[in-house]
Amino acid sequence: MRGIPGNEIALRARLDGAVREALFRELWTEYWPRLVSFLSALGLGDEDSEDAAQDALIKAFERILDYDPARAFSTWLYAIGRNLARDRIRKSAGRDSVLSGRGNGNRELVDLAPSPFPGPEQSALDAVDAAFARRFIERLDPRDRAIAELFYGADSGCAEIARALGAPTGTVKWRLSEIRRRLAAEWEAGHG
Amino acid sequence: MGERRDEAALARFLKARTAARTPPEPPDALRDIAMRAKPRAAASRREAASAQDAAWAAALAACLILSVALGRGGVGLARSLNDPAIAGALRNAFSPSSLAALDAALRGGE
Repeated sequence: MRGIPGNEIALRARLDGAVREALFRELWTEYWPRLVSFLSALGLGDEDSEDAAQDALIKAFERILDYDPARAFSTWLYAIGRNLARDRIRKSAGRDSVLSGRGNGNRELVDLAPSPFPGPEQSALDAVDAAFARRFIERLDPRDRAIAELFYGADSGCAEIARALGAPTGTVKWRLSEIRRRLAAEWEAGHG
Repeated sequence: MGERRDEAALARFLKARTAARTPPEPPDALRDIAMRAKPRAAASRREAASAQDAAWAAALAACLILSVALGRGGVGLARSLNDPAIAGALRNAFSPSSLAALDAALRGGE
């Protein structure tokens, strides 16, 4: 899931407005879905995640010349998204819909996802695995869910996740080992 | 990652869910944002430079006002402050504490 390299983003951002606009459109297409997944993992409801993803992208575009290509663009963007999510959650504190609504609206999307494995038997196995994965991810608390989302869903490394979440790398490694241990135990219980 | 079936299943699920999200059309504002993108740090520097210019202008104005006040034959700022125009201009150019310090210094010279 590696997209446009950071150096290319920084370079194109410094060219003329038309080039920048084309860049923004590419980044929008590439990162909007990833941001929604990340923000949803942080605890925002589906609608809030989509709104916050749009806000984060706009904010990132407005500050595109501040982007430092020494770091992954996704990390920078996720950090902007995380701040927006925190504000939204704070503002919505007490409203049940924000925290309890997460994940519920994704089922249709999961069912629509194309399977890379053709054939009815494989499809059935995929469906079982997907159901297990969905149950597992939905039961994690928001912090662990965000870590799992970035590690497994976006192939991010521990240092990158730590920067995106504003947490120490050691904490991310520790939580990740807990997530893996729990994942293995639940998988064993369900498939053993 | 990917060796364990449980982790592979989780990764496949999360990636499929993300891939299934269709981004909406970007907002119309995208073109405007692209046209006016500028580095925040540079903008801050410009703002700081502008604020500094304003401070210098105020200081220069204050010096001019003072020179007029002193040139009227009075060595004390207190005397010059009797002129409403000068007093008003000075109040605008200096903070109250600076004004008091100046006044004290000039009184001392009388």
